[in-house]
Amino acid sequence: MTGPESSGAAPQTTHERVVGLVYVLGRDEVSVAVVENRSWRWTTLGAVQPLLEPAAALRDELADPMKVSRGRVPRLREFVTGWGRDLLPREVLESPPDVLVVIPHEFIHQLPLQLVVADDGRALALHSGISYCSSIALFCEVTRRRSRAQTARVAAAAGVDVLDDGDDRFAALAEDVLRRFPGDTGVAAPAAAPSGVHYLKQPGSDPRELLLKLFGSADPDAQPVLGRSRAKRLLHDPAADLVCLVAHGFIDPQRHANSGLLLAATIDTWRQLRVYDRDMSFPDRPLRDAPVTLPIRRAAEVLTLTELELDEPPTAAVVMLVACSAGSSIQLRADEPGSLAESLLRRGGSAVIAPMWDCDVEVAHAWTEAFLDAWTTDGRPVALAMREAFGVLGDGRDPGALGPFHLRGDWR
Amino acid sequence: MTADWCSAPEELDDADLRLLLQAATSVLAESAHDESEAADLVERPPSVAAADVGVAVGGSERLAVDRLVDDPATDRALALVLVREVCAIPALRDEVDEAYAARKRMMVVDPGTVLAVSLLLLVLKLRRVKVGRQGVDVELDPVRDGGLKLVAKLLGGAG
Repeated sequence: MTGPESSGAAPQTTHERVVGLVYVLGRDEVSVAVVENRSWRWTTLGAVQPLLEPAAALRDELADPMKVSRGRVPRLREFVTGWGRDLLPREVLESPPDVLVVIPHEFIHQLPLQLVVADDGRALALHSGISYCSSIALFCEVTRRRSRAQTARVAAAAGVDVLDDGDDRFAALAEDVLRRFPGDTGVAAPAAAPSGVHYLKQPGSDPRELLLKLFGSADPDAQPVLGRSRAKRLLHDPAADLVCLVAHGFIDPQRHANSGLLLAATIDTWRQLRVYDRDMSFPDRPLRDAPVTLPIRRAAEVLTLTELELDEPPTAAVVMLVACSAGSSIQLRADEPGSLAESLLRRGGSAVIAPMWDCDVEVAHAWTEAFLDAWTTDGRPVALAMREAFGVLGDGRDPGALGPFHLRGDWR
Repeated sequence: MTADWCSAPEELDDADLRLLLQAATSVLAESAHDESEAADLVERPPSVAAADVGVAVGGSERLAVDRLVDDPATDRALALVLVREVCAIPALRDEVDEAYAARKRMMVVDPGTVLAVSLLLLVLKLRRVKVGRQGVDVELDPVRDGGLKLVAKLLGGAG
């Protein structure tokens, strides 16, 4: 885990213009409340019915990795320059705020409003730092969790590509993330996590011998691959302001709760829980087998959405899931989007960055580096750092070039 | 430009071969004169595609045709024939290679559901496409002939 060199500057204290958009889809009409300076103003945006077909077609297009990889996304272009603009209030398109907090409803949860072009022909993502939250209640909750702005930001990152047995480009991306934080703090935070629920130990045995034998190091965090146990320790690392996990996301179409991250299978770990005032140890086994239909080329396990929800709340201010489809969601009951990013927020995270659809690894690399450069400067809010990162990928006139990343939760 | 996979397609594992089929199918479907017809063909279930291909070679015996869908070795053999034929058409090969490379860069988990018989049906029906930014006219008959020849042999053997 590493921290930045530049830490002398005070946190940014400029007053951003923040606007909230709260959507409500009725039977016939789409309405939105524009919230600014504690005042609410409701606007009717248009009829629901004509949106259903193009919204479904856009969802299908973005779910097709072949079309996305080749930039053949005509539905996305129609959305960002056409009917997507009808889903935003005039004043936002004319004069985008610094920060836009979007509370979608129904199928709007799945629309990339950040790519809609403003009146100057450039995507909103280049004008505004945009954060999504699935409900007002959750937004209030995540902002209550907001920690004090840090200038000396610390990151933890790891990655694994279980579909490739050659050079691990995901691990390389994670290493690059750590390099953006050049000052090595040397904090062995995962081992010192206050929850203490994860440890590589069968009670009564010394796990270091096994680690040394398997990985050539007795340090659990020096394991060369990202497994479930390590991912969970990183998420609960109290010293990390940002945790970045780079892996394949996996959607289980039969049972959404079994979706998750495809990680490397490592040695069995144990977790300690306090049950009726007694410390109990349990084997920390995956909740499901790795899917057999996928071309997995390394021993793999799934860190499922259910497992994340059963676990301790993540402690980092920002969690980056650089994982395919980690932010894409299906609609669950009660207007709840189901995605890894949403699960982490609901479990206690503050802000989660994830792609809304599948991502080109080179785009992910470029965007992540640009984001971290901006985020580690002057204690900048995460949404505004994202705005800068989008600017590095393009001028905002080609929505496909800006990539699929979006922010959920606290914009600051 | 020479695509790496053209030099020894038989060395591709099943997952990469599936990706290549996916890339070729995507390129052909987008390069068709009638994109809606192509989209309809792509969405056709493999069993239906296999039946159509079986009719094209005059062998509609159900069990034999089903091998095109159910037998992974048959699917792979047909895929390799089609890939080799694609390699022999430079404009098409370059476009497929670009699509394949772009798809390989994606951080996506996809079991790959395109079967060789679906690509063959697309080739059968489309006959000609315009590929690339220059819109190079490509005749698909050599790909069709190579695929059908193998299918006829396979179905004959099964029948």
